[in-house]
Amino acid sequence: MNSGTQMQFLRYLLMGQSPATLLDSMDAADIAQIYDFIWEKALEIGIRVKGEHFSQADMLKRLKTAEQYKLETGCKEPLQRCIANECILLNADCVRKKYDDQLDRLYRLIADYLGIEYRM
Amino acid sequence: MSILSVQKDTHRIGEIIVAGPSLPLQKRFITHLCNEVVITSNSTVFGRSKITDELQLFFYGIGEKDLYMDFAWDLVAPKMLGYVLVYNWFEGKDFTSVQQLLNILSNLVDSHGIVVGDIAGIPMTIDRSVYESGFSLSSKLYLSLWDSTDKTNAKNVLKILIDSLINHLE
Repeated sequence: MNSGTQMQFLRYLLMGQSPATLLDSMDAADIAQIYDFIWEKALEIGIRVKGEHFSQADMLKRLKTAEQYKLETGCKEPLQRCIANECILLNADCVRKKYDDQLDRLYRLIADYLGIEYRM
Repeated sequence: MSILSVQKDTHRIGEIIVAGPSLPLQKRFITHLCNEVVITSNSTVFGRSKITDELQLFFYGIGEKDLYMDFAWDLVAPKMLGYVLVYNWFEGKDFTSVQQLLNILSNLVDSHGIVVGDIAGIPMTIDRSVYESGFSLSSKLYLSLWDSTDKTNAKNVLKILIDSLINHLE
C-alpha cells in the first residue's frame, strides 16, 4: 500500500468523508490492508479524543463481527477462515463487501468521535 | 550553501528540503522557523535556523516544479536530514499533487519526511489535540496539519520530524 493512498484515506477520515469512492478502484487485498491502517488510525484518534474514557470495546461494538457477517451472507465456511480472510482468492467479492461495510462503520464512528458530519 | 556564508568546518548542519505545489507556502513555513531567509531569483528559498553556535538547520524551499522529476534527489537525499511537503489542506488539486510527489519520493529516497496540510487560520471543526502530534503513515513518514497564520505552529511540525529521527537512533 503506497503512502499516497494511505494519506488519501486518512484525509477523508479527518474530513468526515465516506471512503466509498476510493474503494471502487481497489482490489480486496488492498482494501484489507487499508482497513488495518485505518483501524490503527481510528484507535489513535479515539484515544486522543476520549482520553482515559477511551474503550476499544466500545469501538468494536459499532463494527460487525465476522460471525454476524457470515450469518448474514449464509456462509458455511469455518469462522476462522473469515477472520483470517482465507477466502480472499476464492471469493474476493465477499471479502471486499465485508471490508466496505466495516470501513463505512469505522468512518461513521470516527466522524461521531470528532463531532463532524459524515458525508457520503 | 555559500549564500548564507556557512563555515562548514565549525558548524554541524542538518539540511531539510521543503517542497510542495506552492512556493509562498514553502516560504512561509521556512520564515516561521528561520532567523535568516534568502529568496533567490530562480524561485527557491533558503533559510537558516541556528540551534546553538555549533548546530544549525538549513531549510531549502525548492520551488514549484512539476513533480520535481528533474530535481537531483539522488544527490540530495543521502545528505538531507528529512523533507517537508507543504500544501493547502482544503485544496483537492494541491493534495493530488502532493500525493503523486509522495509516491515518487517513497521510491527515490529513504529519508524521514512529513506532509503538512495548511489550514491557514480556517477554524477546524475537529479539536487541535487530535492532529497536533501528527499521524504516522510509516515509521519514517508523518502527516500533520499546520496553521500558517500561527508562527509557533511550524515548530510543532519540525518537532514531529525530529521525533521521527530520534526514534530511529541506534
